[in-house]
Amino acid sequence: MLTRRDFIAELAFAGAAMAPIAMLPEGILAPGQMGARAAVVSIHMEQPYIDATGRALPYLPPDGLCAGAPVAHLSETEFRRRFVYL
Amino acid sequence: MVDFSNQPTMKGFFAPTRFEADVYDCEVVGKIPADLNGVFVRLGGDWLYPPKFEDDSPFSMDGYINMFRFKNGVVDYKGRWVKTPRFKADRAAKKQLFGKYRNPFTDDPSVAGLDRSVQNTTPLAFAGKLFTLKEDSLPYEIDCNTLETIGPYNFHGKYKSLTFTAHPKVDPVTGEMICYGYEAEGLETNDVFLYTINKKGEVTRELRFKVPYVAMVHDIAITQKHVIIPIFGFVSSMERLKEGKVHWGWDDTKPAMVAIVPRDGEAKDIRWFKGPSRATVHTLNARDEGNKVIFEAPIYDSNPFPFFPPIDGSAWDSTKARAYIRRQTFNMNSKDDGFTEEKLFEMNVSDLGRVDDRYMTQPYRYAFTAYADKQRPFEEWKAGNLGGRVNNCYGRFDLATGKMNSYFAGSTHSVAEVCFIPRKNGGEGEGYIMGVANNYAEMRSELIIADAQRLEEGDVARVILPFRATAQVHGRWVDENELRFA
Repeated sequence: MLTRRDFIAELAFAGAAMAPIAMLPEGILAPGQMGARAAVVSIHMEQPYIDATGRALPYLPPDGLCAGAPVAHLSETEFRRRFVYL
Repeated sequence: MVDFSNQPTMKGFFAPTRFEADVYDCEVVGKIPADLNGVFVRLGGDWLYPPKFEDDSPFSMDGYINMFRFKNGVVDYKGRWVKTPRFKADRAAKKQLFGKYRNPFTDDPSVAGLDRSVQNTTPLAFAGKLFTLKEDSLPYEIDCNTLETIGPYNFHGKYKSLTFTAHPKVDPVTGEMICYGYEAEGLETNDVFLYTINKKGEVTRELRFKVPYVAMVHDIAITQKHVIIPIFGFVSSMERLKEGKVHWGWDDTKPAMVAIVPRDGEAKDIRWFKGPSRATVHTLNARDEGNKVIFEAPIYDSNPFPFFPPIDGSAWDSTKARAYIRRQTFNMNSKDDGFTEEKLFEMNVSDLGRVDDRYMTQPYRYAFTAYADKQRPFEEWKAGNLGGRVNNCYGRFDLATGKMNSYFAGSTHSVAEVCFIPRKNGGEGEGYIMGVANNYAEMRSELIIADAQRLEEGDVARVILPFRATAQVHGRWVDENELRFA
C-alpha cells in the first residue's frame, strides 16, 4: 500500500518540478492545458488519491470515513491477531 | 522521531491516537439518567512507540486509562497514559525498548531488571483506591480524579506474590476481595498465591499452592465456599522465552483443568478436575448447590488468540476460537476428576461477559455480553468492509429461560465489552448497560447507555467523543461513593 509518507517522500522532487505550473494565474493556460494545472492530490486514511479527471476535485469519501477499510482485507487470522476483542 | 508508517494495520480507525485528553461537558444525544452518578472507567492500550517485533501480542500495548465522569446529568471525559517505569523508559529513549509479551530476553539490555508491565487490562476500585491491573505485575494505584499514576501497590507489604490477577472477585456478601497471583515467585514458576483481602484493604488470608503445569490463569469465579480456578492450554517455559518467543504458546494436548479451592481450606484440600481441551479466559459467575459447584462462563472450544500460536507449528484455527456460554458442574462428592458441561446458548459470543455483580456467588438469572449479529445491517460504504467480523450488539442472556434480548449499536459501529450498572434498590438486571462503540463512519467513539430491561428500544443516551478513544480491554462502573471523587 502506498502511504502518505512514502508518497510525499517519493514525489517531493516531482512536486518541486510541477510547482511553477501550479502557480500560474487563472486564464494563462489554454483550455487543453487545464488538466495539467488541475491535478489534485488528496489524502484519505493515510492513502494519497490523485484526481485524474481534470475537474480539480479532491477525493471525497462517500458520506462516511470508511475508517474500517484499511484493515478489511486482512485474513481472519491476521485480523484477530491485531483486534482480538473487536 | 516516531514512525508508524510501516505498521500496515495501524491505519484508519486503528491508527494510534497517543494523546492525553480532557473533554468537559461532553456532547450527549438523549438524556443522561439522573441516577447515574459516578465513573465509567476503562483500561486498554495504545502504542507509545511501535512494537519491536511484528509478531508481538497486542497485549503489549502501553496502558491507557480513561474515564467518563457522570455528575448531575453531565459527563466529562479524561484519558491518561499509565505512566509505568516501562512507559517512562521508552519515552526517555524515544523508542520501544521492550520486546515480546512477557519475555524480558527480547528487551534492550538497557532496561534489564526494570518493571516491564504495561498495565493495560482491568481497572479496579477497592478499599477506597483506584487501581490498574495487569497479570504480570502488582496493581498500580491511580489518582481517581487526575488519573495520574501513583505506582505499584502491595497492600501494606502483606501481598507477597510478584503478580496480581486482572480479575479479582469481590464477594458482595462479605465485601472481601478474593485475588491471586500466578507465576507468583517469578517468571515461569508454577506457584499460585491466593489471597483474601478485607474491605479495608487488609490481607486476611494467604494460600500458596502449585499448578500442574505453568499456564495462563487469567480469571476465576467464587462461591460462598469455593474459588474456581480454570487453567488451560496456554503454556510457557524458560526455554521458550530464551528462544525469543512470546510468553504463551498453545498446547492442544493439555487438558483443561479446574481447581476447586475451599475458601477456608488448605492446599491439600484443593480438588483438580479435568476436561476436554477448552479455553476459559473469562468467567461469569458460580454458586454452591448442595455438594455441587456450578460454574458458568463463555468458554472457547480452543485457542482464541492467534498471537499465542500452537506450539506444534500448526496453523491457528479460527473456527475453534468461538466462545459459547457454558455451565460446568463439579460434584464435590465424586471420586473421579471428571465434570459435566452444558452449552446454554447455541450462538457464539464475546467472552467478555458480565453479570449483576450484586449476585456474584449467588443464584442468578442474567448474563450480559457482546456478539456479532450478521443479520443486522452494516453499511460498508460508510464504515469499511468489516461487516460480520465485529461485535455490533449487546445481549442480555436469560439463563432461566434460554431467551436473549438484544441491543443493536448501529450500522457503522462495533462495541467493546459491556458493563452492567444496577439501579439502586432494583432487582437483578434492573439498571443500565454501558459500553463504548467505535463509529467507523464518523471516526469517533460513542459511549452507549441503554436500559438493561428494554434493550430493543435502543439508547437512553449516547455520549459523543469528538475523536477515537483508545482500545479497551475491560471497563468498570465505579459508584459515586466508592472513591473520593472531586
